[in-house]
Amino acid sequence: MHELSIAVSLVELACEEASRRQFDRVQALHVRLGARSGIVKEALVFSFDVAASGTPIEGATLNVEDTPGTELELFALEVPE
Amino acid sequence: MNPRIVEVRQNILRKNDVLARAFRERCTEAGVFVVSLVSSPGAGKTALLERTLSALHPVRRVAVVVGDLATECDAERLRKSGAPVRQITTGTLCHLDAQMVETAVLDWVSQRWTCCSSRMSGISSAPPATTSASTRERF
Repeated sequence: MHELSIAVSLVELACEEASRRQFDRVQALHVRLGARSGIVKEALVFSFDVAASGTPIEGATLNVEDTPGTELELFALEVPE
Repeated sequence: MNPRIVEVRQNILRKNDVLARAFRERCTEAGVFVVSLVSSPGAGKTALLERTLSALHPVRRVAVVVGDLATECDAERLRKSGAPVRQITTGTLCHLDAQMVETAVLDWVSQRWTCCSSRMSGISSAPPATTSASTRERF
């Protein structure tokens, strides 16, 4: 299973982006996941909470949008208004 | 209170891509030719390497790093050629990332091995085409 290390990369990227934009809290992550990315969505979702635990984005929801290509992209961060 | 959605649009494996690019440049500068060999289990990667090593070693400075989940079986097969072979065992992970490969072969690069071949076996959870593409980027 390689989804856990990808979940860790996702969490690191989200924390960097949140810190750079000075967001104190992230409610959700929107990820685009391609059908040909080689990533199993369920395994990524399962790994995400473990990877996010103890980080500034702990508790954030992971929303995965299925796309047809090879995308593996953090598309957007959802933050309180 | 309505949430605000802020577009980020960043590749999740960006950091790995950056590391892989730097590693490739380092190899190019040192004149080290790196081949990444990836396929489905049982396709013959180790057999191909056995033949390649016995044909090239010791005339050319060839070395191999092999990736596997747990065992040293493939490394032991390849060591019979006499060429330097290193094994990376990934435990529960089924892929090698740029950092793992770079750490394993760094001294070979600085010693200017003319050919350093890297491979991984037993990818069963990802479609081969995608894995080849992403692994090229990783190495």
